[in-house]
Amino acid sequence: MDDGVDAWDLFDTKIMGCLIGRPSEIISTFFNIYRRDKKEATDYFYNLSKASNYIRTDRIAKDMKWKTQTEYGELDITINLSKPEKDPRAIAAEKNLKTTSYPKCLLCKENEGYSGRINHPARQNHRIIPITINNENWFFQYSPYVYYNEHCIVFKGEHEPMKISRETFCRLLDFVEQFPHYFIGSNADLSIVGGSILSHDHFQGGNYEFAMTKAPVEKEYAIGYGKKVKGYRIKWPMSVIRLEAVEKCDLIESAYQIYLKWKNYSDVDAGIISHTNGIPHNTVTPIARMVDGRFQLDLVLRNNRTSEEYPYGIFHPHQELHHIKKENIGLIEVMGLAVLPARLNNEFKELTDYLVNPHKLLEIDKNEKLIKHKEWAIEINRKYGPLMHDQVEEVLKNEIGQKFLKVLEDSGVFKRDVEGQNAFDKFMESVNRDSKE
Amino acid sequence: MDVDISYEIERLLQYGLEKKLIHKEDVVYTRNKIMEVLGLEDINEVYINTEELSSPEPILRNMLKWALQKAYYWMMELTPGTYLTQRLWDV
Repeated sequence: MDDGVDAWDLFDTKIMGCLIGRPSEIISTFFNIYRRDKKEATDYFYNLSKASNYIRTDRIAKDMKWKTQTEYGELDITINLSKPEKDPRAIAAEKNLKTTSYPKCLLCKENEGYSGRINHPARQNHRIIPITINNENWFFQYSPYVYYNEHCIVFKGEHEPMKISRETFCRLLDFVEQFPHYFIGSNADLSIVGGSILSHDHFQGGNYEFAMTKAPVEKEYAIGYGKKVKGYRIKWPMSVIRLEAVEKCDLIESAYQIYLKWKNYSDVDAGIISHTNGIPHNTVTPIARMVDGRFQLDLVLRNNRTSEEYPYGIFHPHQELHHIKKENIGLIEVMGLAVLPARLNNEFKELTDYLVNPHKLLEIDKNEKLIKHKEWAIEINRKYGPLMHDQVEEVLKNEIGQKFLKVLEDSGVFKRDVEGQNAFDKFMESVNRDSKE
Repeated sequence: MDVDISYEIERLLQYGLEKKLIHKEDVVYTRNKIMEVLGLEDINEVYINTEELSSPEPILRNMLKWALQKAYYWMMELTPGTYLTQRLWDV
């Protein structure tokens, strides 16, 4: 997997490796602080990860970031300038690749201190913190790409594939109990609707409030379990069940029952079919957090079925959105942060010229890079007319944000119209009915 | 202009102290480790100004430039115009 590693990175990482303490020193410092103050401990480790240049803050600063107001709140958009885009089908193929190299993947604990090679980053300056969740050995680290504040990764000690199970819910809730100032979520365990790494079980978390987190409750559902677990639908373009409970075990049990129910749930009218020839399509993207001392767990319902009309996925951004986003819609996008590929940065810069001088749109076919944006550019021109130099960037940013909203709408299993929301209710009724039996 | 590698090493040690990556007891040891990575047996004593950097990138960039210059003089004799020598000018 080409991660854009340059020989230069191998060189300067080796130098920075001279300046950082051994893992045992870092770990003991971390837990000495942790015993006193959890937030201070993560602050210490986050600052260390930046100071060591493991997080390359000078590169992160080049990323473009903005917010776009929508009916679902402010969506976050980032154009990432340090990580290449992956084709979802390549990601699916990777799941079946033989794992013979060392380290087995970018997440494995064997990366700590690794000198790197031309297709694998050097990590002499990288440190990880061992934690115990669900009585298993996991590790805590920060993402080198920092898509949002204190973007952390929690990964399993063993190189085992992503799998949503009862244990997933236990692990997530154990983590937020230990780090109550962080949220944590898991990508789904199926291709197309999962993240970019399916071969190693891991979570992503951090200290950031996404639009989905802030989304208001739309409806309360009875979901059984007496009154111990509250269930809600929130106002969000994707289909989210928000569960809340005081006790971890109640929440784990109800989440697991809903997950099991969803795995085998079909609603042909809504286009939801749980299996094709025994191959499962339904899964969830779960996200946990603590709110005022209560545990909260969002289950985002996912389905990865493809059809002739939608070869990339029925509940995936459709073809007409691929010029902006065709990558998997993972955990981070689900919560309302679009991570857009670096190539778009230059394309948008070029596109502004066409929007300021719309007569050039007639010749846009000559520009190979921009052909795919043609219809969109014409649409923007029709909507705003010729744009001024000082407004074109704002307009373009807003239009990209609106496109991202469509991406999320395409990814939602129950659509936001009346029929879709009725289908959502029907599923929740079946959850409640079963839990009473 | 040629990079003064001794100066850059001291700057990096100061950065490490400032960011609490190392403590004062680690300075001599760390200097030796960096010299080892850079393939240096000898170093000049230099005086450096205090500075506050948010990223070590400017120092690392100079160190890279120094390494490429060294490699460049060496490679010019062998294979002028290679990828590495070309990219030296981008630094």
